[in-house]
Amino acid sequence: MSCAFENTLHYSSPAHGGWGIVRIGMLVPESVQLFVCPFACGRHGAIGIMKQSLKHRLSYLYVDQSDIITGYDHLIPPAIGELLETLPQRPRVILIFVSCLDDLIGTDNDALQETLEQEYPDIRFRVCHMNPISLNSKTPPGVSTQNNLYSLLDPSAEKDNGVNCLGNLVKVSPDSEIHAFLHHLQLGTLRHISQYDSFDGYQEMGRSRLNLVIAPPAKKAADSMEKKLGIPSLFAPVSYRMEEVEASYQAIADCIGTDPGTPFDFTPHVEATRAAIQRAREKVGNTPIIVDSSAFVRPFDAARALLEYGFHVVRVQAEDCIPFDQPHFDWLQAEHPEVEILQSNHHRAVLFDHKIPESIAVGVDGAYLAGSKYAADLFNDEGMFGYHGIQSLMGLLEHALDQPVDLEKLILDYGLVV
Amino acid sequence: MAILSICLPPFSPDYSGVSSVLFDLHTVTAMHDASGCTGNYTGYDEPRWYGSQSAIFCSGLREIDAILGDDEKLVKKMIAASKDIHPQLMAMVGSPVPMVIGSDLTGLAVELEERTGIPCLGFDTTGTHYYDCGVSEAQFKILKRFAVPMETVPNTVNILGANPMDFGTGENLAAFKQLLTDAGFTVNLCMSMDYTLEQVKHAACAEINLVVSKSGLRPARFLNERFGIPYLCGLPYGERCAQDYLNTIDEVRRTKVSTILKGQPADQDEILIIGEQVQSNAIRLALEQECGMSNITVGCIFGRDEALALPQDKDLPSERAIREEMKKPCYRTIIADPFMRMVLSEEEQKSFWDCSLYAVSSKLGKGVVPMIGKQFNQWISERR
Repeated sequence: MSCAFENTLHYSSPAHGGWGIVRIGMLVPESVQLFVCPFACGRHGAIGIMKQSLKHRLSYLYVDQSDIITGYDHLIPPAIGELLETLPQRPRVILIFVSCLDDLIGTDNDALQETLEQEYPDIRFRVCHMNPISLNSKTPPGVSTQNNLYSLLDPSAEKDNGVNCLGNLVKVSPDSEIHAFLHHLQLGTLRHISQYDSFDGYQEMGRSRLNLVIAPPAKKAADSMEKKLGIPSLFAPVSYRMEEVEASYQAIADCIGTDPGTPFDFTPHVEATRAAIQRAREKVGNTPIIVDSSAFVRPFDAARALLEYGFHVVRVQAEDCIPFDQPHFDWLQAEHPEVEILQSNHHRAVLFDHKIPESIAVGVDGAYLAGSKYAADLFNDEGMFGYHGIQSLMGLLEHALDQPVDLEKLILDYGLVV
Repeated sequence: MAILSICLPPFSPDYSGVSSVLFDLHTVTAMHDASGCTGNYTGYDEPRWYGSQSAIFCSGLREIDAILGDDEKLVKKMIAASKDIHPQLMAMVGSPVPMVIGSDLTGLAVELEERTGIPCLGFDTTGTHYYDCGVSEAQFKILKRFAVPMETVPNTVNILGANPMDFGTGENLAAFKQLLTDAGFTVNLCMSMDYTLEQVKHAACAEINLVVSKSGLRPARFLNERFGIPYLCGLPYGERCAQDYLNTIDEVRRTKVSTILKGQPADQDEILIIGEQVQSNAIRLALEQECGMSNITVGCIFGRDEALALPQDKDLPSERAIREEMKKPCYRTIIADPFMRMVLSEEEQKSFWDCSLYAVSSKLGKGVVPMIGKQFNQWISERR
């Protein structure tokens, strides 16, 4: 099971998953969600969001076989009315989610949204799709949900110097040098949807000067924002390679175009990063490292970085290779063919014949299949960007060997949802 | 009819029920879905998933396959997996999208079996029914396919209807088996937790089938019709009830008359037990026998099976029905999964005894309440 990604039956490990669409949708301040689907489709989202103590913002309209045959769009407005009667506070936004089967029955969701907005003019509605059946399309659920989140921003005549950070589900660490860098360029704060408690406050993102897209799922949303709100965007995905970090910062500076007089001094950040790499390398030594896509959006970028820093990467585990990671995949194949590429959802994964117990896995899915004794607690590049991101990764590696991981607890605490 | 559910999460669906029955067997099973249905099962309906090597997969269904009705892709993936895993049995399990596009997984299973020579079962589950339907269907189909006529072996029993959505990780089943062993019985088959296909083949050797959940009723009736094995439906909760239960086993073996234990009809409603019907009946019986309580109603949230119900028992098919029933002033005590507390407002709260059910609260529940034999008496003494 190496070198190629095959279209097999999918193994679903207990370490597989992420935030899930429900939790991502919850990023919209003052919003509630109504799922319209067979009851079965909602179980993972409901239990997952209970783990996050957000179930009071999530309800369901279960449809049965006859509703599916006759169409269920007419059932939604009265259900919204009943739901609103029970809510202690009137929401500003209602996200209506439909499931995979809606792709096949031709519900007129635009007409539905129009009807709802006429009936409840003080509430914004968006029809969203929890449709993993579209995972190999151009708008899989992760992308369409991001589109919906940012489509709620209104155009503003008044612009300011803020920068929006898109694509990441958790805001970039306040300790990252990016904040000082933006300040140096005379830009405002790095805004993230998670920082807003009110829908009105969230509208501030519509006034920003730049969209910095650091994870691929928000690329389309940024394109739409450019058309609707006039906010240009720059794609600068999280990287753990110093070369790419430097290039990203240069691209941001070029994009802004302002001349701050003196260039930003990255020297202390670069030196701190080199020192962190040195410390981690000394501590980790020749311990085998597994790099996994549950930790990194671009695992091949991360693996390349670690190999370039002198770590003993033995495996990259992923379900596939996204286009933005392809150059690093190619580099890995060419320069380090000895590194195993393990398809985490391949049917042969269930044989568990690829154990490497004495390894450090960066990512829980990699740790699970390898039976790694040690693991770094990182999911989906959360909080990572720039030199500080590399330093944080090095910190995780440096301390990974301190004690064996309780993987089951780590997975449960995070609350992975497929 | 569409049903609004505001507080409670959706309960475990039929395809999880089927998959839980296949979990122990050496299969290649594909849940025919895109990913979320499999995620429901592996993440929230199957407490045994972590650390297991059960070959239950997602088919990875995509839009273009659904639109074109491209079943061949699924068949090829099944064949590829079977070459690496060498299963005793293969299975395909339906979900909402196959329902909408009219997939015939039962028919497809016949084709797959012809092409591979490996026994294959298809389940046209839809995600619009509860887990017990799936458990029931899977147990029935497996027994129908594999159980063969055998000589009866004295003092041998089968347990039917055992599944993780009713029994979690199986603590009560373990205690139940111990009770049977201590009483001189041998458990041939505990379907479908901790069992093998060999034991299924030998199912007809049992003197009696012990039905421990609603989902065990259909396979028990089948074995009764096919092999003449009577069944006893119930659970031995409570010390005195456990002895009565063992006596009833002897009686059923002797008379060959199948029996369902339910408790007593009520004059009025005083105590409400919400949950799975057989377990709830067992709690009712134990409250009556061990504690002298009466007027106990069972609220059936997974459908009211008439054969298992007393006249006072209620079908509670929606959150609204559950709320309306729980709110009734006549009930002074409610025994239910802790999630049911969310249905009532703070002012409406009553004496509430938690009894977690994995089909409701999954891994966020409070764990299985030990109830077999005198464990029940211990549980009740802590609450009175």
